[in-house]
Amino acid sequence: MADEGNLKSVLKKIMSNVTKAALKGFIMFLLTYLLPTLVVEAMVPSSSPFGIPSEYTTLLYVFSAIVVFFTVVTELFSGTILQHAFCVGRAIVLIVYFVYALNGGIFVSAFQIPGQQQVLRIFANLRAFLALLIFINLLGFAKGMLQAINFLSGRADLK
Amino acid sequence: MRQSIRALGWASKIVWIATTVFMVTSLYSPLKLILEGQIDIGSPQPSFSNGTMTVFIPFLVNNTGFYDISDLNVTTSATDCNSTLISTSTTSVENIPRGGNVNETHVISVSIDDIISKNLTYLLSNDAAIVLDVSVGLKIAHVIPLEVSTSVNMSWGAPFYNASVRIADFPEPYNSSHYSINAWSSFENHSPFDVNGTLRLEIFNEREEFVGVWSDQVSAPSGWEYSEKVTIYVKPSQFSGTGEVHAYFEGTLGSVEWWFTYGR
Repeated sequence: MADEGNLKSVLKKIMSNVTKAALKGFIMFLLTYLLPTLVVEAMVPSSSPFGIPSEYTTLLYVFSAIVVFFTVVTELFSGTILQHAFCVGRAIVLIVYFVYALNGGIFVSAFQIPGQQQVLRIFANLRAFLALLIFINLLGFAKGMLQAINFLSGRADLK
Repeated sequence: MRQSIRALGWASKIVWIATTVFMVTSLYSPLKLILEGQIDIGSPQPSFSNGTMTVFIPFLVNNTGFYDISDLNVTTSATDCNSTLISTSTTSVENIPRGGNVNETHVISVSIDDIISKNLTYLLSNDAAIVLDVSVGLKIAHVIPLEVSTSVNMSWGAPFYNASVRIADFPEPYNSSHYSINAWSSFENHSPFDVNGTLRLEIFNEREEFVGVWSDQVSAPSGWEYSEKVTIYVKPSQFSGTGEVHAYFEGTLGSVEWWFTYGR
């Protein structure tokens, strides 16, 4: 009887975590992929050549996938040490991702001016942004580590 | 410990939001100027004086973006088909505050002396394709350096296109001491400027001895062809039928000279 009750509470917790994970994952998808795409479409007319280049659309999709994946797994393993491990993992993966996506802070793009033969080359030094993004993820990394230490010390206190 | 974790969480969220907003607005800011047509480039105004060709390109930037635009540099470099630099010029604007505007003129100048010193004299008598590299560098919000560049192919119209001097093979007796030789001097002015000045033809024989000279005022407005039959008086003993003609022009384009051979 006690086992049945325990199984029920575990299933209830799993269901709750899955529901939360699905909901948070969906919200993160909206925030990281759908919203930026809609904002760019609203800001830049479709007739303009200044849209997001195709390679950056793919990178945006990858970013969204990383964020959604880590949000879902963090929520699924909520209440375990893995939750904090995934927090730390997300910070490291995002640092690597940003360094790769921003090409070390140097944005280079070229596109043909519509109706003309000239190619317009754009070069932007985004190292300041990259530094900020790395800093944010280092904060996330530190937070994850502290949460893991706090979790483990809490478990030790219980024993 | 929990307080620290909570503080880190909030700090992380706040910096995330601030960075995202700053990133989006700072990158959209210059794009907004282009999309709204707040950058106006006027039509180039060519002029010529004192042997220097100058092209004035007025431009207006109305900063309706979200941040200041600083260190605006407009650089143009003109090179010929062999990538030899003909001219480079830069116009700088220190700062265009948010909501402000600037009205500047970019000046591209090429002097005939420069063309001669860079061994580009073929541009005076041959039409050519010129590549104009245009680069605009600026800083958004004083921290984000941005550079936009393009290359424009332009055609160069030579002021002395197809310049030539032909000397008649047989001189005619003029008087007891001199012969008269007919010569034809011609060129087409393909440049956007008028060619006005003095043309001087000096004839030398094959032993590089001076034979005779002719000089007169020439005028060839833009797009016109200059063609003149001239008579040069020479001493029969010095004229051998072969040699070189030294053509020397001095006028609105500065000083230009050519050597032509004849009778070979």
